Amino acid sequence: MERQLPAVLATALALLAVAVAGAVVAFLPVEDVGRRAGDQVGEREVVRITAADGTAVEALGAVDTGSSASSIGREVATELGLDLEAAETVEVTTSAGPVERPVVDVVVTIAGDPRPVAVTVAERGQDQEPVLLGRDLLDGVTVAVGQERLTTPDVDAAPSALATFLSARSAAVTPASLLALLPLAAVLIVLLRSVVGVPTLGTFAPILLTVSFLQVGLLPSLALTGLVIAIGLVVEPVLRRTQLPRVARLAVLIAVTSAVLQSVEQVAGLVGAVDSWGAAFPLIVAAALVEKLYEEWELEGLPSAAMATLRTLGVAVVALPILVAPPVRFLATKVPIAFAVACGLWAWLAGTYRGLRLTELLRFGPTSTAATSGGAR
Amino acid sequence: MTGLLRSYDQVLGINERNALIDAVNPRAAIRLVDDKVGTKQLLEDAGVAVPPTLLHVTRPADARGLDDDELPDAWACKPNRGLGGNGILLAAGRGDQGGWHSGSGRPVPLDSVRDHVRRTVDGEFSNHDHDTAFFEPLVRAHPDHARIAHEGLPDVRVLCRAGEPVLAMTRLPTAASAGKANLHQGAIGAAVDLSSGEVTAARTERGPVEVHPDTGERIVGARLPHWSTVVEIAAGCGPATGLVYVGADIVIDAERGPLVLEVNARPGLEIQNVHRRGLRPAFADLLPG
Repeated sequence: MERQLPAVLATALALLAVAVAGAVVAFLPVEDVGRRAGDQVGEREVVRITAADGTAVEALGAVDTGSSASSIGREVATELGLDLEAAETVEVTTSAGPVERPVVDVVVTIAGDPRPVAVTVAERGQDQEPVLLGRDLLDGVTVAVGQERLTTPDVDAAPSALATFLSARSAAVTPASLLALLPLAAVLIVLLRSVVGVPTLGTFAPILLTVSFLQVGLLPSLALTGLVIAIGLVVEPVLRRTQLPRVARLAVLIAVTSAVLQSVEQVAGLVGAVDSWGAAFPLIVAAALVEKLYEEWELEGLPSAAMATLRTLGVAVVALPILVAPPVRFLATKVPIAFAVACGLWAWLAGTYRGLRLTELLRFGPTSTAATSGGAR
Repeated sequence: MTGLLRSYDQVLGINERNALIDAVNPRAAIRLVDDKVGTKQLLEDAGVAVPPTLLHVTRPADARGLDDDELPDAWACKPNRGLGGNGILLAAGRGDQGGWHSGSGRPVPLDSVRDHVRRTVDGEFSNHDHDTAFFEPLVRAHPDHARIAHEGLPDVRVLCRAGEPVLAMTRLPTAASAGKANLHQGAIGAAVDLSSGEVTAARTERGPVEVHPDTGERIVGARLPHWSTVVEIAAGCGPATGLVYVGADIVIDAERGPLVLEVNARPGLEIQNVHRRGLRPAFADLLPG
């Protein structure tokens, strides 16, 4: 029974390939991926505002092509140390009638391009971006509709995967590119299951968690997932004691979770921490996850269930930086159909892997030792 | 390095096992053994000893009409398509105020039996919307087998290639496994020599053991009773069901002797660690690709 490659060597090679590919994708220098079409910005971009004395502030700006002049929020002005009392004022027409607003001279750096400009200082609400980018800053720039955060103030390129990964706010994934990213996420699941051997609660649950991470940002997502699981662990035992069939239990669990999440959203909405949690979070997945977690708990005990939950969250977190890596986003945006087809082929290839899973090297250690010491020779 | 890697060559991994199952176990046969009552009937027809089916409840209405006198003093109620020993209710004797009591003396009133049967029929313990529940006489392990176990019911898993036994192990419940004979829950897996029925090695997931951790009883060297019958009925399971990679789960009843409790179309791989021997050579010629 001579084989060309020992199963383990094949496993190691496959794993190495995956690791290298993952590292390349996740940590590739940002360079000019996705930025070949000249100066292009999304609907929301982070910009740097520099005052005359050199004080600089980075803030999120919303592109408003309907506005001729740009403005900054009062808080940004305060942070810059601008003296608004002494500043000139200008009369601006708003929907509420004419108002007097201070005007200040600053330099706004957008996509690596510093532009001196006079901006008005306006009251901007908690749920509004602190900076409004008007036409006077958008000269010679194309606005990519439906996209955002394509640049950083210094570089005319998307922020690195790590930066996006750690940003608390939405990682700029539109529904369209989300659709294109899902096949890659599915390929990652196949690799993790067949080659590495990481069992999770529910096959594709980690991906759907990843999607919610993409919508909300990593840290709030983890907090939110923890919250949903906590709710579930309180509600599920009560539901189990009733005579309800499983499908009804799941529905009640979803309703309770939805109610709690919406309450959280309202509270969070007040402090302006995160936008649209409830809508973004795949609620049914979270509730189904709780059902599975509880089942695992009853069948295999708490330690096993806790480990399975951690693995599920771990897979979701690992998938995240790969999905938001600039090259991946570039491909998913520019050639979404080809990308999906390629992912299908990769999944097919990964599915043909028949060697040992990496975790099985550990599991079958006793058997292998016997093989060496028992000796074929 | 190559030597280390080569030492895994005999190990059958999950990926390869799944491919093997796809290649050699007919789908119809896999579906068949998912139906435990039907499988028992088939085995019985083939002359393989199984526990009798006392009562088979298929409709929720029948669960409500269930009565004391329909059942014996000691029984086991199981979901027909249950997973991993989930949803099994046991009665060890009649209760003082009607109903029954469990092995530990906890009351098992008729109402809770009806409720359990109804939930079973509703598919609570299986991956289906609907299931059925069946009752069997309670199996009491042969004293020579029970001696090396602790609480719970010890069983024998014989892994076969069609009609030919390949490896056998006995699974012994421990306090850690809460009476269940599942290896990943802390039960002991003990390698049994196919020709003699003697235990040659034993281990938990933590490592090798020689004596039972709860009782101090010596496991290695013990001989299982009625061994030739165990091997014989195990060998009958493959041909009767049409499965090729097949695991027979057998209990050795104190009165009835060895009985096939169920047939597994996707038997696990832990038996390799129990025997410290890979399964690959035994199935290599059947592996696809």
